[in-house]
Amino acid sequence: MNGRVARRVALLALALSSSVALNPAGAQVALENIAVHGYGGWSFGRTTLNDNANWYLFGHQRGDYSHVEYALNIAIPVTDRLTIDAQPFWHAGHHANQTSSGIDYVFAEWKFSDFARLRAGSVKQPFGIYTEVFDVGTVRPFAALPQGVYGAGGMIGKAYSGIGLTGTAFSQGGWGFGYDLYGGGLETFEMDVPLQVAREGADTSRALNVAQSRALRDVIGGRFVLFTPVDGLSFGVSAYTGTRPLTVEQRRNTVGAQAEFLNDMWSVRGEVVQSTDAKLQEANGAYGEVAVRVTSGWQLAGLYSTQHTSLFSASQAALDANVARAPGLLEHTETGAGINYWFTPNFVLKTSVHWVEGNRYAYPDPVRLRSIVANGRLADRTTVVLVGSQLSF
Amino acid sequence: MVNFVSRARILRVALAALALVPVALSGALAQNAATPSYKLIVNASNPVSSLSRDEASRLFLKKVTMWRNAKPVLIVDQKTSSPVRETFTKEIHGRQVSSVTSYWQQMIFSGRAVPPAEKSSDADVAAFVAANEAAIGYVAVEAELPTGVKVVAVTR
Repeated sequence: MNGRVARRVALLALALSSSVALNPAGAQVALENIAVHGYGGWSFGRTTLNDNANWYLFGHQRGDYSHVEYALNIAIPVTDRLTIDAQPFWHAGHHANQTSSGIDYVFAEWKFSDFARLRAGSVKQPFGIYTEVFDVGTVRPFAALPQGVYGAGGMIGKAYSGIGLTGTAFSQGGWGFGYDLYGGGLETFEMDVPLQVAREGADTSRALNVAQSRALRDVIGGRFVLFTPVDGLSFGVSAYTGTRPLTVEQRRNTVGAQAEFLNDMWSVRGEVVQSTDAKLQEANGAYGEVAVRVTSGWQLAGLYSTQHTSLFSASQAALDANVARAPGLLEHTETGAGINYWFTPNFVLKTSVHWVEGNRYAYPDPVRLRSIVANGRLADRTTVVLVGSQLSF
Repeated sequence: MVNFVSRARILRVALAALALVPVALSGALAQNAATPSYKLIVNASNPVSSLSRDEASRLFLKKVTMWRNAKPVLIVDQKTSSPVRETFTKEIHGRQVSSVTSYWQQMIFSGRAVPPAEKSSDADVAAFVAANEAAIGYVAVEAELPTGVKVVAVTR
């Protein structure tokens, strides 16, 4: 844990404990009213059938045992209308051999009614099906989310920092809807090393930016989900717009649509997302994911996920020539199959195989990527096997 | 330049996912019409005398958190291992307890709601409801109720 993050966690703990126990002026909360939950997991991944060193998800050629994560969720009902929510996390993974920790979100929510709940602080971005529960393994059939939409491509954000409004309404006939509106700053999940190599070419010595997130400013976004009278069936749309503080400020517009059906036996989900940085790039992603419980414990799962990125430039011909050296850097197509065993809804063992074409998300160590492309040794097919456990309480 | 081939591929994925929905729906449309094996109870001062199944489900899933008079609802649940919770969950939510647990995981970690408090017996649930004007809970159909508690009819 670096010092800055450690200080943030310590400050959060201090703030939460203060609100719980040290405030005698009416905001004191009895300990039995505080809800503490958590989630975590460990995954092993190994790529196979490669003559290269592509990394994908939690796996590389020699096998990686190091992916571990854990988070605590704390919900404090200060009054009937005011709730404070916070979620600190710890994570270890192979990218840059790092461990990291921080705060997923911390916000206050004031409930005017079920239809109008005001949120202020750092709030998980309401976009699509999974963004709000990005790291929670027990709410999905695969160890990782479908990369065609949830890969580090900047389509979705981690949390917005600002103010939002959320609510639900239901009719007597079984119809209902939920909505979210928000504005502020947004940290996106985004590592675009393959795009940099595709854009700038393999022969330059220009340094790569290996940052894993970007900050968007002046973001406005929303989500609308329609609940149908068929229990478990819903449809939704999401969108946000914001600016990237580049040399010349760049606007990003992202829109998405979702469909989901859940019952005791089946979970069927699909999403389509388009993200555009005007005059710079456009990414189109989609996935379909199906899982079925064949017994109370055993679950089978299947996945198809795809994403394509187009790059734009004032000198399009030169850009196209660079892209032609390794067009797979802009592509991702994945087919996955998995078998899970659920001991309880809170603890699952998962194993899955993922066949990937393209290098948007399956590529070697960023430090070596340019030289591998220059030598024509970039393999555009990657197969990874994942094994792991995920838990929540 | 927009890649139309890619868009067509994405559209095919989306259509394939949607095509699977009706297959999965077949299991959802079968409703359990058995006689209730639980009693839905509220505080005796609560003016509510009946709730539809959907209304009760939304209350217990905290999709609706206020009574019709705008007072906050105080929900009390049974332990996940209790037989009455299993039947209540099946009859009110149309789901197994494990599915509802998954629903709560989604709510918890998205920061939207936490599950209701759980009591370990019918007597504890009834005592909690008797002591809290805004409370609602359920007990086994054979459970004896204390004063201060009334049964709410559940309609389809």
